[in-house]
Parts: sequence; structure tokens; C-alpha cells
Amino acid sequence: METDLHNNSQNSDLAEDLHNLEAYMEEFTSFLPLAVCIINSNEVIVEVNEAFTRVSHFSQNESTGKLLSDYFIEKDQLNILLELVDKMPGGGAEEKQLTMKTKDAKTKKVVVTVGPRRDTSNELTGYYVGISPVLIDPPAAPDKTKKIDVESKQQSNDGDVPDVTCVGTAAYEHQKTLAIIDGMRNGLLVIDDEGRIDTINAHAADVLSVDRSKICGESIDSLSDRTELSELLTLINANPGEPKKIKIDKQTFEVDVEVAQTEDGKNYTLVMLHDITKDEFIEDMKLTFVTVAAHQIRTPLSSIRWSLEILASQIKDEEQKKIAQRGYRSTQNMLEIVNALLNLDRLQSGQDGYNFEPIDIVAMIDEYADEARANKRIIEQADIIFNPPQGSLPKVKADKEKLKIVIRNLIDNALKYTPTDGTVNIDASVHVTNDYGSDMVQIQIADDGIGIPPDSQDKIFSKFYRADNATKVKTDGTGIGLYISKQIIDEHDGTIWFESKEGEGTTFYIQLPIAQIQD
Amino acid sequence: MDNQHTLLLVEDDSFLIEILVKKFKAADFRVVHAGDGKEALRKAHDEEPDIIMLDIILPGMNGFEILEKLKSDETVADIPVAFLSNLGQKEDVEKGKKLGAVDFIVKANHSLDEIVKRTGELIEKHGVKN
Repeated sequence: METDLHNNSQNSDLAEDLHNLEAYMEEFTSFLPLAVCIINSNEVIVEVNEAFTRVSHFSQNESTGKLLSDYFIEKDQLNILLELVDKMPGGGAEEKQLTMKTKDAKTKKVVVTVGPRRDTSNELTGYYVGISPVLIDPPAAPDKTKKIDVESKQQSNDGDVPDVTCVGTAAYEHQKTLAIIDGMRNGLLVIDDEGRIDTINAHAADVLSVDRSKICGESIDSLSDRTELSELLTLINANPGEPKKIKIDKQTFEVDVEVAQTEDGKNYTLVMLHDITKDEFIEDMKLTFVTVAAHQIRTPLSSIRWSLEILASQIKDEEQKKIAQRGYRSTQNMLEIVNALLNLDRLQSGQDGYNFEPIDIVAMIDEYADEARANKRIIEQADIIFNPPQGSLPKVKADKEKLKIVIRNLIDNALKYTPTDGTVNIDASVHVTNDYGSDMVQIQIADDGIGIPPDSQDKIFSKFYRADNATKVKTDGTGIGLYISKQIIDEHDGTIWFESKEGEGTTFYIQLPIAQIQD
Repeated sequence: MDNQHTLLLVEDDSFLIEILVKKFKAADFRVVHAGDGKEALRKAHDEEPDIIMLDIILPGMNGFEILEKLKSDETVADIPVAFLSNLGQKEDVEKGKKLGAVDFIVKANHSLDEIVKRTGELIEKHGVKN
């Protein structure tokens, strides 16, 4: 069919006429003082003209993709109007006076005129909607007519003249696709297999500060003299992989590069730009706040802790002594949380380097297990049983302070989520790897506590995440202990994982590399 | 008592002073207190303490500046100085040690008993009178 069309000069003339007509219509609608929008059969806005943006105060990008009913107070009246139009056999239009909501949260009375949009087989494909204010503001002079879309349309249709009978639908579909791509909040860039820019949406053109009408068809390398884009270009030319964070000017983007293949075997590179500048800023503020707050909280907590310590040591009455001891323990808990927040901040900001040395992990666990057991004289808690291996265990290559945080977190967690008559079993062994990996020291911390529900298991190492059953048992956790632990173990080239059954218990495992030089 | 140790406590929080003084006295220390840098420098001269415990955030001179002044004055430079503060980030600890502090104790992370015990140990280890 394609060859038929290519040979048919009449058809291409017709197609050109159609393009010209389309361009003319676009200019006409953008000049038109009447606010016009096109919605699809699901009442989603596909296109709006300039006048519509003046009436609604929403930009074209903001309006595209929204429901028309979002703009009106009398949603039911609008539906009645659309239903009325549905039932009309041919052309024609119906109108109603409705109240429109604008972006600046004002309302205005408008007359809404709706006409049906039908394809060649008379199926309803959407509606034309005209909006005229009851009190008309003097229309501002039309600023500029837009030609961008017309040009890019001609480009993509180049050499591929559609069948005349479906020109309406194809053009409509094309328009729809462009509207959807343009309405996206993310930047999208499509590059063909010869390195030429095929499509670029409004957001991406804005980010790269390029003229959309000129850049299409140009090689992506034409941007190589722009130093601020060098990071992006390197990423595009590299193999597709995980989304990466890069800087463009002062903004931070998460960039995802994917390859898509069309039916005819052509490869297209899709580049998606997701602006995360704001998220990064908020993250930074949050961490600064955490640091300041943590320091400020520590000072009064010291006073409380020491006061309770004095009381607990001086009170003779057993019951009162117990209360003071409990208060002391709570204060200690609170300090642990504050310290965890401080640790998190430092790990995230990368302020702390790692200082690796050979560490006797058995002694480290022994020491903390003793410390944790000592609380048993103040509060009730599960037993801790440490079964060190027969003979000595090789030292691990670790940062002492950081590894301590992990051991504390895992033992504290096991105690927190195990009933007071339960047991926490700790084992240590050398894990012999059969394949080419080197041997590791493996620590196993098993409890018979509440377990981790299946739907929480993949999120358990996420920041601030706490499983539902955990929040019920202990309301005061932070959800950062395991997150920090994973970060630290990863830094050690180690592994951390768990096995868990809800209601039966959890076993956490860590594997750490053995220190090369033994002393 | 001949072997009673003297502690110069540089701290501006009156409640913490009260608790610390009480605890140290119970452990048979003689405690001298200073609320700011000037007073601390004067008392370091006059009272001949065995050890100085320094807070960092203080009115006027901060703890680091006080330590610098102490170390540049020959007559008191030998007195061991330890920080007792609620700061305690790696940089603070490193800065303190570089300026010549013998220890850095984060208040909130230790019980009073531990602090008294550790102070005694520091005098044993670094004290000039022994």
C-alpha cells in the first residue's frame, strides 16, 4: 500500500493541503478570543487554545490531561450537557451557563458550548468545548502564534503519507500522543539509531534550553559544546543501566536511558529526565534539622539521665526505685534514638570515612551481649545466648565504630521484638565459599519473636520503614536501624540478609570479609 | 586528706553543675567550678587542679579556645584537660585531641558513675602530682 501511495501524487498533494489546513486551524484557534478546548470521550482535555489559558489561568501543559469537570463547580450539570450532545445524531451544539474555577481560586460565570467530535464512521471520539465568559474581559492581544507543533508534525510525517481515509484518525492520534508527551511532568528525549534527536517534549526542551523546532533531526552531538550537558551526553552514550543522578546547571535530575525497538527493527534511545532538585533540597534540610535537633535534645536528656541515676541509687523504697530505674532506661532508649539519627545524618552526608582494621568480632559481640544482659536487672527482656565457635575465629576487616552500630542494632532489634520469655541466639562461624569467592565470617542472630510479615520483607531495609506488626509492639522505633546497618555492611563489602516467619521469629545474617593480615 | 584530687569543672548549666559536684564530692573529689573561660583560666592558676573538665559551648570563649589558652601558658600547660560535652562528632573529637585534650567524653552517652571512674583513671594516667 505504501508504494501505491508514494506513486500517487494526488494523495501527497492532498496530504499537504491537509497539513496546511491543520496549520491554519491552529493559528486560527490560538488567535480566537473564544476559549476552546478539545476533550476525548473520557472527558480528558487533549488540547486547549491560548484564550483558554487566559480564562482558566492554567497553562496549556497544566490543562492537558486534566478532566474537564475539574474546572467546573456544577459537575452534574456538565455531565447532563455532555449526555445531551451524545444523543444528538449529527453536528450541532448545546450550551449551558456554569461556574468555572480558575487557578487563582476564583470563580466566574461562563457559558459552555459543547459540540460532538466524531470519526468518519460517526463514532463519538470526544467533544469540542467553547467557553465564553458571561462578563467578558477585554481580550488581550494575541501574543504569538505557535508553529512548533506544525513543524514537528510535518517532520514525523515526512515520507510516510497516511491513507486518505484515515487521515482524520491518524492526525487525531498523533495530536493526542503529542499532547500526552507534552503534558508529562518529566522530560522526554527520543534519539534514533543514527544519533539524531527524533522527539523532544516541552519539558526536556526547557531543561536543555533548546529550540524545539530547530533541534529535531539534529545529531545529539550538536550539543557537545555545551559543558553543562556533558554529564548527560556521557550517560546517553553509555550503555543503558540503572537510573543515575546528574546535574544540569543547578538542577539535579534522575536520568533513565532505555532502548526501545519498533516493529520494523529500528532502535530508539529514550532518555527520561526526572527533576529531583526539590526532593534533594528537602532531604538536605531534613538532615540539617536532624543534626541540630539531636544536639539540642542531648543536653536536657543528660540532665534527666543523671537525675534518675542519682534517684535510682539513693531511693530505699523498692517500688519507687523501680520507677526511677524504668525512667533511666527510657531515657537511655531515647538517647539511642537520637544517636541513631545522628549516625544516619553522618552516613548520608558522607562525612565519615571508613577506617578498616582487623576486628575481633567475637569479643565485640560478647561485650555488647553482656551490656544488653545487664538491663535485665532493670527491665524484663528475652535471654541472650551467644555460642562462640570452638577455637578462635579469624578477625574481620571492619571499621570498629561502624560495626558496633550494626551489632547493637541487630541485638537491640531482636530483644525489642521478642517476648520477655523468648530467647535470642547468636552464632558466629566461618562461612566457606565453594566458588571463587573468599571465605567470610558469618554472624547469625536468631530470635523467636514476632517475625516480619511477608509483604514487609522487601521493604525492611528501607529508610524510616517499619513493619505494621513492629509499630504495634513498639511505638517508639525510628525505622532507621536496619537501613543504617545495611549501608554499613555494604561499605564493608559484606552481606546482610534475613529469614523470617511471621509469629515464629526472625534470623538476621551478616557476612564480613576476613582481615588479610592476622595479628 | 593528702591524696584528695581537685577537679576544675568548666560548665555553664547550673543543674548539671549541681549534679556533677554532688557526685564528685561523694567520690571524695574537691570540686572547683568555673562558669566561663576567664574564670576557668584564673582558677586553673589559683586552685592547682589535678584535672580540668571542659564543656565546649560556653558563654564567651568556647571550650576549644580555653584549651588553646591553657596549653600556651607554661604554668598550667601540664594539667590534663578532658572535654565533657554533648558535641562529639568525629571532627570535634579530632580537634580536641589535636589541641592536647587527654579525653573526650560525650555527656549523654555515660552514666555519672562512669564519668567519675573515668576522671579518676585520667588523673592516674596523666596527672602531674603522681
